[in-house]
Amino acid sequence: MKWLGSWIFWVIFAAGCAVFFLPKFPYYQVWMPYGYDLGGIALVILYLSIGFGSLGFYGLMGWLTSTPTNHFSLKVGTAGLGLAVGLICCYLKLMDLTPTV
Amino acid sequence: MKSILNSIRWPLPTHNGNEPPIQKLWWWQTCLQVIGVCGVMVVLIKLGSGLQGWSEVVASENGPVERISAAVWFMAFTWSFMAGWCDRVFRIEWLLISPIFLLFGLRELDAHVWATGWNLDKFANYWNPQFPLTEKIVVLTLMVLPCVGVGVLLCIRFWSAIGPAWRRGSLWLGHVIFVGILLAICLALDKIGAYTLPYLGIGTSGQVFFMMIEEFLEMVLAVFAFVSIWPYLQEAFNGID
Repeated sequence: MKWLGSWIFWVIFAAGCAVFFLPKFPYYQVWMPYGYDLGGIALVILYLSIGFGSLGFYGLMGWLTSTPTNHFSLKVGTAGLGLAVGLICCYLKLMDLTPTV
Repeated sequence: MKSILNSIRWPLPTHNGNEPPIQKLWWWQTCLQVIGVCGVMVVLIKLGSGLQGWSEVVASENGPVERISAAVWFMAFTWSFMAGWCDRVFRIEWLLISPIFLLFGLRELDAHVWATGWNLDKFANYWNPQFPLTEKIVVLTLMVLPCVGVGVLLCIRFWSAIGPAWRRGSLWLGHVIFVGILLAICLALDKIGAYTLPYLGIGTSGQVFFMMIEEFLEMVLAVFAFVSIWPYLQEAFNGID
C-alpha cells in the first residue's frame, strides 16, 4: 500500500472532499458562512471533520494493511473517524438550531 | 527564570539518539512537485465541476481553490494535533505548530471577519469605540494572547535549532525559509490586489488575473506546508503504513 505513504494521495483526498463532498451536505450553500447565523462556526466544524476523517481513514487503512496487526493504527483510525462523525452531527444540529440571516 | 528559559531553549530532541528525521528533497524540488500537483488539480476541477471560467475556479470567494487551501490547512492542523498525542519526543513541537495551521485555516475561511462582525486583523479596530469592549477583551484573552504565547515559544524553540540545522545542512530549514518567503509574497499580492491596482487604474480583468495568481499561490503555500511536515508526520505515526 505505497499510496498510503504518499502526500499526493492525501492532498487529493482533502481537495476532493472540499470540492465535491462538502456541497452535498444539507444546508451547505455557495454563500456560506454568511447565509446562516452560526454558519461560520458550522463551516469550521465541517472542515475539521475533513481533517479528522482523513486521519481516521489513514489509521484504518494502516490497520487493515499492517502485518502483524498494528493496534495503534486502529486506535488512531477509530479516534479520527469517531471525531469526524461527531463533528458532522454537531454541524447538522447547529444548522438545525440557527436561523437564516 | 533562567531555568524556565533553559527548559524552553533546548535544541530539538532526537529519536533514539539519532538525527531527527529529515526531508528527502530540497525545497525547490518539493516546490516543483507541489506546483505540478496543484496545477493538475485546478485543471481537473475546471473539467469536472462544470464551472465556466478559470476565474470562477481559482479566484472566486469560497470557490474550489479557496476551499482546497482551507481543507489542507485543517488537515495539517488535525494531523499535527494528533501527532502531538502519538509522538512523545516531538510533542511540544506538534502542539505548538498545530494552532498555527488552525489560524491559517480560519483565515482562509475569513473567520477574522465573521467571528465578531469587525475585522480582527485590523489593529485600529481594537481602539475603535464603535465595537463592544467585551468582544475586544474576549478576542484578546482567548485568541490574541494565546497566539502570541505560542508564537514566542515556537520562535524560541526553532531559534535554538537553527544553528545546528544550518551546520548539519538539514533540509527542513530550507522548507521553513521558503514557507516564510511564500507567505510574504501572498500577503504582498493580497494588499497590492486590494489597494494598489485600483489606485493605478488597472481594470477589473487585471485585478481578477492578479487575484487568480494570489489564490493559486495560497493553495501552493497550504500544500507546501503540509508536504514539509509530511515526513515528520509519518515518523510520528510510525508503523501505521
